Formats: sequence, structure tokens, C-alpha cells
Amino acid sequence: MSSIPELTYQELASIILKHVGVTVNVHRLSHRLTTFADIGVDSVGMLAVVRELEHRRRVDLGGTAAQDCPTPRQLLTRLREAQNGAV
Amino acid sequence: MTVTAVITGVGPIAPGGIGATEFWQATSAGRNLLAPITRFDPEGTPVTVAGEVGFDADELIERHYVVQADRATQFGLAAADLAMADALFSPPALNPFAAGVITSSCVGGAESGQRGLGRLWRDGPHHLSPYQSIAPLHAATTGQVSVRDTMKGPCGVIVTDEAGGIDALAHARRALRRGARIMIAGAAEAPLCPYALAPQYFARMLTESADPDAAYLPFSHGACGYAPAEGAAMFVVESAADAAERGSRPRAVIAGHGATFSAVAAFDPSGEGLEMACRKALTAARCQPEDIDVVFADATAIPTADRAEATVIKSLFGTKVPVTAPKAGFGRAYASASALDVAAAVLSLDHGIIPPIPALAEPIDDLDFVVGAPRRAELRTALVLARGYGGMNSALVLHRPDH
Amino acid sequence: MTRRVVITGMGVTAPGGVGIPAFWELLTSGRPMTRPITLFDATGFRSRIAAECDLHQAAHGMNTGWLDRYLQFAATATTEALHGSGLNVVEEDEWRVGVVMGTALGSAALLEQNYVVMSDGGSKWELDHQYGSPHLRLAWTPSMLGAEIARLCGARGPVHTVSSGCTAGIDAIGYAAQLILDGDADVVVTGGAEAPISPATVGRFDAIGVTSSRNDDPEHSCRPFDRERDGFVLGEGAAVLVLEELRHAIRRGATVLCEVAGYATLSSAHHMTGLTTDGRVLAVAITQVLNQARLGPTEIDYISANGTGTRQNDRHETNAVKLALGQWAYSAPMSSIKSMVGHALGASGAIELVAAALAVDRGVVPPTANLTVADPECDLDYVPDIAREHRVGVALSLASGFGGFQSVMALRRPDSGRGETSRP
Repeated sequence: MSSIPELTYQELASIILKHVGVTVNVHRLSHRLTTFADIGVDSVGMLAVVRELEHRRRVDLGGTAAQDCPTPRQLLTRLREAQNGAV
Repeated sequence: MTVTAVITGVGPIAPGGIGATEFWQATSAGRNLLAPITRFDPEGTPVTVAGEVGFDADELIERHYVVQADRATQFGLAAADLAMADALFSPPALNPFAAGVITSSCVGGAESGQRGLGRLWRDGPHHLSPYQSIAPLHAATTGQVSVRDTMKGPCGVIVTDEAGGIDALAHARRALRRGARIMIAGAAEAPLCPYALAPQYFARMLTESADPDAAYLPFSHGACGYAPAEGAAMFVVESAADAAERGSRPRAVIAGHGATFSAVAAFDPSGEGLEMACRKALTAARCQPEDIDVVFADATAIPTADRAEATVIKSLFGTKVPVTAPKAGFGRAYASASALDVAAAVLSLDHGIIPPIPALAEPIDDLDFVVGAPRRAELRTALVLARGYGGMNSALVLHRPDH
Repeated sequence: MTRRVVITGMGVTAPGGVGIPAFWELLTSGRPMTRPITLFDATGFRSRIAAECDLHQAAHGMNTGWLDRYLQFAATATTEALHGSGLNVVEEDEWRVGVVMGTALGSAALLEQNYVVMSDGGSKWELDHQYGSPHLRLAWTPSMLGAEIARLCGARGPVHTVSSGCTAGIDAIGYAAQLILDGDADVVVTGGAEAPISPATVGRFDAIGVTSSRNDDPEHSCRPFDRERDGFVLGEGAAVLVLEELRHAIRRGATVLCEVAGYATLSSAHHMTGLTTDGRVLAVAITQVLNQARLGPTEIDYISANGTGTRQNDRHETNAVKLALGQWAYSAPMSSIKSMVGHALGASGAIELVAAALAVDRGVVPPTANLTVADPECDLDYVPDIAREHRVGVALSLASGFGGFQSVMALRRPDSGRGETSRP
């Protein structure tokens, strides 16, 4: 099975822009202390982001991913784990 | 309790322009702004002419609303901003629990609704955006404005078809009587999408003319239905005392409101309900028919309904009162139709100028229609009429504040 | 003279309870009506449970078959309410009789069915209206609810539809009371109706994860205030009340069931779908209603909760009641009938108000079903599982909805000996 490319913060930023309507600087997004709440992505916005990630990568991040991952870094870690599990 | 409710801010968003100044320029000039539909491809559908708003969302509202909210709600948010700026009011209010929001619409977030249905039925339930849980609802505009501007006071959402813009103002006045200090009220509507228009075609009330100059001709022998439009008008409504204290100039007094129901659907040809709504509004405003200086007509351009309205106006006011219908120049925007009429009426009282019906070559009646060019007049009291498809009739009496 | 608003007739169409007697029987038995969805094939959806009405039973004896589903519910409830009140609109000044009805979605389900055909299964943005029903104009906007009910009862005064989402039912009744108090009508037929169980509505709630996914145990899926609750369960139905000015009711010899003693609707202005934990705005709404009704916290005998069974709502509501009533919050029984009949969105506020009025009238409070182990954060008296005899002089009904709406209404027994002004 071919490996799935790792999501970059750039792509995450574009997902947030398209599906939540919030513009975010990539450097800010990738800082380890940045939370989604900090950049204006609320709980509903998180659901939109998770949903889109799941479609793009054809993975299941689990029903509670939006609550479990308050930071972009945690969400990308969750995605990597889910992808590794799927391979 | 008697509270004199005054309008201190006007925020129209119409095919003719964004904000009171642009809107008034277009409306008072009597320009025809109807044009072929561009928001979707109307080929193969009977209705091809409408009044579209040139709306630059990036300039008027925050970016995330473009993704999260329907076009109607975007109009509502922008119109509320314009009205508050006009009233020199910047939220949040000193006491957020005394500031509320009441809006009306006919189709709610229809365009968002259609987008969600498409994703669901084409791609499956997992493809619905979480914002679909709120964007298509009629409640969304009131909710979004109250959240953005921290208005925790009385809130409401009224659906009475084309009468909604008037009924929202009447309801805002109820809230003031019960202790609210400042209310944002009005209507927002964005029905120019297939999902909102297709259900109407069989009823044959929309114009099927493809010629923008002949499409919407109320009170004319050539009347062939109305051109649909989109838009919004929001108002700041507060007590005269509060307006004075804030140093905000009252633009008009909400003097009287009457609402009735015609049991016969789709614009009762007898006009009985509309006449009773007028009588109730006049009584509530302690006005005699001869006090009315101008009538802003509902003007459906459906021949039986036009006839009924003309008869009501004539029987109550005779043929001396000027009658106008500026919406003939930009279309009938459902709940926003009456809200935009109120905006036009308020600006009309303010300027002492009656905006015209753009064109009326062969009138069906000998009423004093204002046609083609604005008319200067001493205006103290205006009457705005509206009828909903379902049978709702509303009338609103507005006074110039020094009256 | 000060006008006062009373309830003189009620009708209800709810899952497992068409008509007041069956509805009350259901509520006092504590039997949940939540089941697997049968109205459409819910395979592939996250939540596949709902409380459905028996339409055949609902429309019994009435020629309502041509009406959309939610309108049939409303028509049935209206007929029962008018019958119960003994009101004959023909004998009234028809211009003084109004209608205010609430619905969140109106004919959305019917529109969806037509959309699917007109868009060829969602594949086209431009729709072919030739494939739609010729009667779609009647389904096009929720205002048809008010209009149809007005036609049914002959009202010609103000006829309005309220569409404030999940609080629409209670907001419609509050609006109706205001019309009477302000002298715009003497009688208003009012309530709420909803038939939301369709793919689009289920899918939209799935998308934000607010509905229960306890698909393997539908009867125990709606668990307000329980530690194991995981969301609300859709319901459907209608409730209609006849509101009258007190002297009007006395003049025609009507039986007064309850007085509407206060009403408030506020916006939490916090978030479109989220709630604050502290419940402060709802608490302010409760306090405003108590002030209108000139009541102290200790005079509240029963609270009909919004009690949706979502994680957020039940804590929000519990904290709001504590903020508003103080220590008395622990003494006033509070229950959620959504545990039995589900969440009928814009009809819920009306259905629950009827339940509260019945609690006042019968001296029995309905239980919260499926409350096995309470959430430690939810520590009030929720009347678990078994109805309770309890004299109710004053009841509160609470509602919260998307968009931030927080609505509260107070009902008072007509013989409770309090004659002060009420200004909902």
C-alpha cells in the first residue's frame, strides 16, 4: 500500500481557511503552544477540520478527536497515528 | 406602558445600493435595477429577471461568516452594522440584557440549505459541514447578530412572508415596552437560488418576462407578476427618551401597526383583510385617513392583488394621497420587501421627497401614483403596506419625529 | 384595567400520545417512545433513533391527508384545543382572534424529498421544477403553519409564525400572550409543530455530534441528567393552546386551566451552538419571569426542564436553576419529558408547556425516564423514572436553542389566590 504523505501545516492552514473561514499564519499554526481556540477555531470549527481531514486522508480520527486535540500539533500527531494504524 | 418607539438607524442592503445613502440615491432617482439572474443559470426556468445585490462580503463582514453563515445572514450582519453606525451606536450596550435582536425572513438560509442537501444526497451524510446545523435555519440571523454584538436581551424570529419586515419592527416595539432599551430589528433575505425559487414556479406569481423594463409593472395593465429580489434592511429602534439621551437623531416614529389575516390565500381579491390592517394601524397611531401623506404600496403586480390594493387605498384615502412603490425598480425581496419599504419611507420623511415607481404607462386606477421622477412634498406621516402569500396583511404608520 | 392571559384549551400530538389523555398516560407511566427510525432508511447515519408519531392515529377522523406531516400534527392538536376550550370563533369578533405558531424547520422534510427528485439525487445545482410537487409553494416557508391553523379556526387577527429554532414553541406562546396583554387580540390560538425526522436533519445533527448514538438500545437512548447521557434524540409532534384574556374567558364561561404568569426570551450571545457552563443568561431569564409574575424562588413547585440529554445542556440548565433559585433549586422537582417523547425542536417548547400545565392541573409531575445514575454535576431532584404526586401552584418551563435563545415561561394555578399584574 502506498504511503500517505504527511500533512503539512500549510495544508492544515488551507483547510481552516476553506472550511472554517479563518485565515491563519503557518508559523503561528505550527508553534507547539498554539491552540485552535487561539486562532479562532472553536468547537464547531474543529469538527469541520476533523471531518475534512478524515475525507482527505481516508482515515477515522475517532469520534472525540475534536475534543481530544486542542492544538494543531496534537491533531497532526493523532492523524499520523491513525494513518500508521491504517497501513 | 406608553413608550414612543423611534427609528434612529437605517441599514438597507438592496439591489440599488448598500447603506442609506446609496439606497436613497438609487431609490429616489427611480432607476430600474432589475437585470437577468446571474447567481445561477436560470436557463430552462420560467423566471430569469431579478434584483441582485452587489455584495462585497470581504468589505462588509468578517471573513468567517462567508463560510459559516448563509448569504441572508451575511446581509443581516452587514445591515445591522450599517444601521448601528447610522444610529451612532456601537455595541456592546452598557447593559447587554437591554439590547435585543428581532429578524424576519421568508426562506431562511435556503442557499446554504441547498448546498447541504447536495452534499448529503450526492456524497453521503459524513460530508455535511457542521455549520449545516445552523446556517439554513431561519433563526440564524438573529443568533449571529446577537452573538457578534453581545446582545443578550429579547430576541425573536418572525415569519409572515412579505409582511415580516413590518412585523419585526412591531415586535421590537413590544420589547421596548417591556424594558428593553435598544433593539436591532428588520429582515434579511437571499432567495435567488434554485432551492428557494423552484417551489414558487407553479404558483405563477413571479414575472416570466425576460425584459427587465417590462418584468415588474405594478398597478399597470401590463402587470405580469413580480420580480424576486434579495436584500435586507435592519433598523435601530429605541425609545425617544433614550435616543435623546444618546444624542442620536430620531429618523421616524413607529406610530401604529395593524396585522390581520385573509383567509383566502395568495392575496385576497376582496382586500378586506388589508383594509382592516390599515384601520387598525391608523387607530393605533391615533390618525385619521387624511393625515396620511404618502402610501408605500405592497405592489405585487399580480392583477387581482393590485386591483384589491388600489381599491383599499381609494376607499380609505380617496385619490388625493400620493401612492408609490419603489420596489418596482429593484424587485420584491420577500420579508425584506416590507423592511426596505420602511427604509424608503423613513428616508422619504427625512428628505421630504417621495421616491417614484420607475415606470407606469397604463395605470389600472386613477390614484395619484408617483411615477418616473421623485416628488417633493411636505411629508409628516407615511403608511407602509405589506401582504404575505399565506394571507398575512400588515400596515405600519410612521411619523416624522417633529410631527 | 390590567389584562391577564389564561389557558382555556389544550391539544397535543406526541409520540405515543395523540390527544391529552393518551399523552398524560404516557408521561405518568414514564415510558420512553424512542425507537429505531422508520420514516426513512437511516443506514449510514451516526444516530439512527427517534421518537415518531403515529400519523394514522393523529389524523383520525380528520381530512388532513393533503397537509404536510407537521401541519397534520398541528391541525389535530388545534382541533382538540378548540374543542376543549369550547371556543367557537364564528361567535367571536374574528379580527380579535389571532394565531401564533412556532416551528424550527417547517416543511423542510417535504422540501428535501422534492429536492432529491428535482436535483436528480443531488447531482445538479439547477433544479428541474417540473419534477417537483405543484403544491410546493405551500411548503416553501414556515409561515404556512400559522396560515393553515388560522384557516382551520377562522382567525383573522394577527397570524404569525415564529421560527426561533428549538425555542420556537415556547416563544410562539410568549408572543401570543404579549398580543393579548397589549390589546392586539383577545384570543390567540398558539403552539408549535415539527416533523423533523428526515435525512437532512439527522445528518446535520450528526455533523456536530449532539444526538445520541446509542443505536443498540434505543429505548434508553435519551438520558437527561444521567452520567451516561450522550445526546438528544429527535422527536416530532405538535401542541396547541387556546390563550385568552381572563375576562373574555370568564364572560363566555370557559374553564380556566392555568394563567400565563410570565415569559422572557434572551440570547446568551455566546456561541451559535455552544452553551456556557454557568447558565447565567438562562438564570437571568428565570429571574425576569419571576419578577414579572411577582413570585419568589420558593413559590416554584415544578420545573419542566429543557433537559435534552446533551453533555452541555444538562449542566448548563442545572447551574442556571441554581443561580436563579438558590437553595430552593434542590427542593423544586425538575424533570425532562424529552426522555420519553424526544426533542421535537420547534414543537418541544409547546409540548412541554402543555405537560407543565397538566402538572399544575393534575397535581402530578412527570418523571425523567432513563435516569439511572445522575451526573455528579447534576445534583437536583429530577424525579427519576417514576411520576410523583405533588401539588403544583406555579410551574416554570425552560427552553434553550441553537443561536443562543434562552426562553422561560411561568404558569400559575388559577385558584392560587394571586391577582397581581403579569406582563409576559
